[in-house]
Amino acid sequence: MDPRSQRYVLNFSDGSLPIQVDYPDPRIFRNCSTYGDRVPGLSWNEFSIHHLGQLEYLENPKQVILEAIFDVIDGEEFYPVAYECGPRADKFVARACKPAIDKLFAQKLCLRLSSGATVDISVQFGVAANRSKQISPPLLISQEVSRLMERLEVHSGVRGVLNLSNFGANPRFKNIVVSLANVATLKHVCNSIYHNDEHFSAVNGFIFANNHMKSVDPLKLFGDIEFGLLDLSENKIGSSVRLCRELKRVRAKELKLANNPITKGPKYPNNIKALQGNFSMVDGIPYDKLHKTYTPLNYDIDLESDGIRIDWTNKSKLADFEHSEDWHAFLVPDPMHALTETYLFRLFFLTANQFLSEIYPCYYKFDGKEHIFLVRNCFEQIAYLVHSCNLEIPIPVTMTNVEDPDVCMGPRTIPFYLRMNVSRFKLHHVDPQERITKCIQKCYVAQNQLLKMSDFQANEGLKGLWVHMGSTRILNNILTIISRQFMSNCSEIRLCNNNIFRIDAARVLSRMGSLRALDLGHNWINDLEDIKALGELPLKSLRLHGNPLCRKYGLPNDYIQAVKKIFPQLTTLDGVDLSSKPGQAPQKNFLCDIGAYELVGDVFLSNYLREFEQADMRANRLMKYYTEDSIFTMTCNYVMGRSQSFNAQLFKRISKYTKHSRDIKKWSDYTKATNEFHVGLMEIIGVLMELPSIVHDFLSVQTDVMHYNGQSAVIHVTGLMRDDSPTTHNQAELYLAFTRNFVLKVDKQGLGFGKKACRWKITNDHLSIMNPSRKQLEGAFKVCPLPKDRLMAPASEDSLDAKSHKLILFQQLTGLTSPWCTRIVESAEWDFERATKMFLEMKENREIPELAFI
Amino acid sequence: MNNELKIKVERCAHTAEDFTRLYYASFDNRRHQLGRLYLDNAVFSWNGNGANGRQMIERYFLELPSSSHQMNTLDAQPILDAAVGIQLTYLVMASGTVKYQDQPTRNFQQAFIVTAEGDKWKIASDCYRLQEVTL
Repeated sequence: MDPRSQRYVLNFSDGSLPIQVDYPDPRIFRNCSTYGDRVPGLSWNEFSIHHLGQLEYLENPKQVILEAIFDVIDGEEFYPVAYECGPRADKFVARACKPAIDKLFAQKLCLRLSSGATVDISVQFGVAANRSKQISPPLLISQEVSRLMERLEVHSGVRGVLNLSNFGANPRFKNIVVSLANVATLKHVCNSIYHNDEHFSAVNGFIFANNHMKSVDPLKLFGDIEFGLLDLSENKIGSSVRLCRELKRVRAKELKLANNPITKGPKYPNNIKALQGNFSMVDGIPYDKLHKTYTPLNYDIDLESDGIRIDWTNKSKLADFEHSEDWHAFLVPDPMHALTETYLFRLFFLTANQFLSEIYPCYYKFDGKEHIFLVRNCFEQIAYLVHSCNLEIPIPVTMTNVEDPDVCMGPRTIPFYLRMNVSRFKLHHVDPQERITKCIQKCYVAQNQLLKMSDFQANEGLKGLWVHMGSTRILNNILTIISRQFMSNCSEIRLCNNNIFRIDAARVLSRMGSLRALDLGHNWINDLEDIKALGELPLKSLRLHGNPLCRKYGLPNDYIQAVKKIFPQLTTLDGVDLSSKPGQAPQKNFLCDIGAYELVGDVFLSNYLREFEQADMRANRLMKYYTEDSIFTMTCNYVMGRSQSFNAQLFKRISKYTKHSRDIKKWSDYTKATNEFHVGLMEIIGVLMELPSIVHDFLSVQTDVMHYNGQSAVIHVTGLMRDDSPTTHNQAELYLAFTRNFVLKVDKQGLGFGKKACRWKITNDHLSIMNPSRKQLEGAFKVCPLPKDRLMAPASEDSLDAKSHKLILFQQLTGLTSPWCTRIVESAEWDFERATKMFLEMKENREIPELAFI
Repeated sequence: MNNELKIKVERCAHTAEDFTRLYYASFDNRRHQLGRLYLDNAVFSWNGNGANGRQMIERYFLELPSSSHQMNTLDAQPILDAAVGIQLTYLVMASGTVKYQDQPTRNFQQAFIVTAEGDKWKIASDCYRLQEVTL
């Protein structure tokens, strides 16, 4: 069919007449706000969305484009036909849509996407004549609605439910775009339902789930009739005011709103109070009990009277509950509130038996006196905790962060008791297996065949449910779900930050034929023995960094050898390529102490280097770093013209550095020791101002922090800079390799907010200048040099957390390896949008090697 | 500059020269003795790969291929406000070229913090960088 610039025929082989596209009118509208004397008549019009391939990284670019279109045309009828995704532009035809076209022109044929990008639309009118019996989206929709009305379903115990969930995905709509996100389409659907005299009376409920709907205004049509169910879940309803207005007269026994933005807002559910008379239940919870933190503990269960208490007096009675499927409550008295939720569960899972049934605490709460949570279907485990642990959670001696002295000094156990069968299980209650499965699905990134389960517990979908991956059984269960779900469609699993102790589910994972990379970083794995079973997987890449086991090895090489013994086929360990000699591959940065991280960033180093660049500003900007006792010296070892003839210009430029250079090697005796030895603020600034302006290639910078104790620090910096002196701008680019050594001390403490900030001063400063190596020159200033005003702007205020968050996001977005992410995001000065643009440009220009992608 | 400081600076230069001569001779010819020049709790970074403590540093050196260093420049400063207390401490910066076994000759930079322990000079920290690019 392509290229479409030629005439073509759209034949849908569905009985409709083909559309013959022959472009009688060659005029194409783009970047304009009016179509002048042309009239979008009844013929077919062709629309092209020029995304230029920029949206590749989105999960569903077509959906994003359509959403933006429906946003613009806001309630006008518009049915794209034969939507076709192209590498640089998507195309479709549509007819009888003048009001929609007018609205598109009002936006100058420019679409602003939810991803932040803007794309152009071009329109060509009357590309094909309209004949009757050609494809007609409204007709198709009406036919499909009436077909579904003959097939009403039973849902949540309600009969006569018309199921329109994910309506647009209906196979009958394969040639047209039907989106209920467009209010006009929804209206057309509602009209078709309402006017179906034959079947409308049998309809007792609606499922509109999963339709990207923001507005449900046309449902007004069904006002003043009492329905059984109105399911609006999994949509994009965000405004409570609008929802209350639109559903003002709509009534049903139950309203489903789950997974709409509205339910995630802080004001929910108070902001839909106006609908209280219309629906008796919302998402399975009675309206009057609809509180944000619904738990059966707050509403359905009275722990004073419900269930049977089991404590050390009647342990034998526990056997009665062996086959119970009801909820059981754990109650842990803690009148001083000495334990946090996290700490309680950490102790709890240390106590529970790793090898017995899985236990998933649900609905945790602290009621002022006791920690309470519910469990079910884990009798083995309960019996173990009652009989073998004697209803006590021991506190390991090594854990000392329980602050309450009574708990610390007294018996080092925490007693608890149970109430068995406190409540029946109801449909809307937490079902761990189902929740976990859903959550795992959401962690999957299809394009990268990547499963991102780092810090799984933090998932929004696991609210009110503790999934302790430190338990081998629970972890096995999760890995089983994963392997069933994704089989050979997953090449990388990230399981970092999950408190994992051991993994023995290799057999389960071996079913995942294409699994090549596993991230187990920052877990609690104490020994390589604990993951030995994974050795039978054909893993290429493994991350173990941040586990206690790493501390066992003093030298990188010992560690690598030990890991390779179990994983002989590994090519990458902790992100380091193992093909280079172990422990000798150059690393960009070395930090002797993690506390120094901010010192090499905005607290000192990156600011200093930035402020050093412009010579005439050095007095102002660098004064604050030096004291009367500071020392500065420099060495210049730039060798000129090894082979080329003498270059006077170059000599002059380098002489700015040689003038102040010292070199002990060249002295005959030590009487010269104080030459060019600069002491004190004024003298040092004087010298620094004489050095030419330069620009650092920040990506080339390598830092080693050799000493850091909060009071003093030693930092070595090497990298590349470019001469940027205004007087030499017309001359050839001059690149210099530099090394800078700083000895720093804290001058003043207790500054700023929270009195945590301190001011660092330089006690010793040494600058050394050399010829750059050929490799350094090849990589010089590769990522686009930033305009000077950006470089000079104050450093962004992002905290460390925000930065690492940005990096993670950027990595998710681009699929680049960490060094590349850091490289690009840093050079965009942590501006996410710029970083994304830069990435797209670099990708377009093929500046990113294959290797840079995970 | 007062006389006291002047003497310090001269001594510092003297020490730096003696020390680095011994250091590179050990590095290239008597690698097994190199550990003696480090404090027990010294910090070492070789192209960003760290090793802590004399024992680890010694083991790291044994794994490096044989080498031949040519020191071209040398500078040194006394650290007046020593983080290490009142102890005499110097910052020593050396650079030059090096050839490891089968590898091409490359530039290197090295910076030491050396401090007096008894009558010997010992390395408190040692940062070694070959002039090559890392990502």
